[in-house]
Amino acid sequence: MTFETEDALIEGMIDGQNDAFRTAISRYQTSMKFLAISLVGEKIADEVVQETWMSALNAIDRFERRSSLKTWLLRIVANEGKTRLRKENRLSSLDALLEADPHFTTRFDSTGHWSPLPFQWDEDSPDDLLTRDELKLCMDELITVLPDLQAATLNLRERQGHSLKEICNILEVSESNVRVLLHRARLRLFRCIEHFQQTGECCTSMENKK
Amino acid sequence: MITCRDICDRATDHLDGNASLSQRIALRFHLLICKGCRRFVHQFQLTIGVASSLGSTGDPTDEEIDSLVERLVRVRNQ
Ligand SMILES: [Zn+2]
Repeated sequence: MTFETEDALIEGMIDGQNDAFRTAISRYQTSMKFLAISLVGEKIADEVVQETWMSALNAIDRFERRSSLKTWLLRIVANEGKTRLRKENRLSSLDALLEADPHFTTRFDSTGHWSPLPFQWDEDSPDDLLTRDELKLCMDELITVLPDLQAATLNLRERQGHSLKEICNILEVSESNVRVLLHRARLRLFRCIEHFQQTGECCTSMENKK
Repeated sequence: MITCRDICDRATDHLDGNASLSQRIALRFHLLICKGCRRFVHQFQLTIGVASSLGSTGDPTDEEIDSLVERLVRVRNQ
């Protein structure tokens, strides 16, 4: 069985066919786990993904197919992840995540001009930047401490290539808020790379992992 | 007049194509006359490039798929 169309795959899952589950898992598990890691952290990502499959199985008969199956599954991952974080009292408040980064408000003079100018980086391409192992490690560390929805937005956008519209559907956050979450996450990375360029040190040493 | 602070605030909208024509013109013009913002926008783009290669997760192994399929089938047939 190849399940060439998505409808065929969904029907197969509704019928409880082994092959349909196998196909769905091999197609979507990697993306689902990647999102789960960014949202809840490595430790409980597997559990969240397993819960997602169970929930998806219970709800597949009612799936209205207004989005792709993949988007629908990722939305359940996000829901399961948020529920889990809320239960453990560690879901960030969206308002806090949308607030301006206080660091950047100190970078401008009273007329709104850079003061001082942004620091000039030594390397001039992402690959060149990441050839420095310490920076690579620092960045990998940073994405583990970025707050849930910020990290998830960054993952869905930069790593998985979803549109802002799809992300707002997956995370159930308005599109304008998705834009702000993405911008804040990018600025945070920018600041960390800049800090590394200036000092040779990572910016994350004081923070807690998800 | 837009300021460097505005450029910093709107960099994502601008780079992702969510800025209006007049905003785009104002930004272009500001970049022509402002070295700090040229540097910022360039390095912000490098940052996005870095972000697009961070983190990883492997594909599930055959055993993982098998055990998950088994559980799902069991639940489905209950
Ligand atoms: Zn400027």
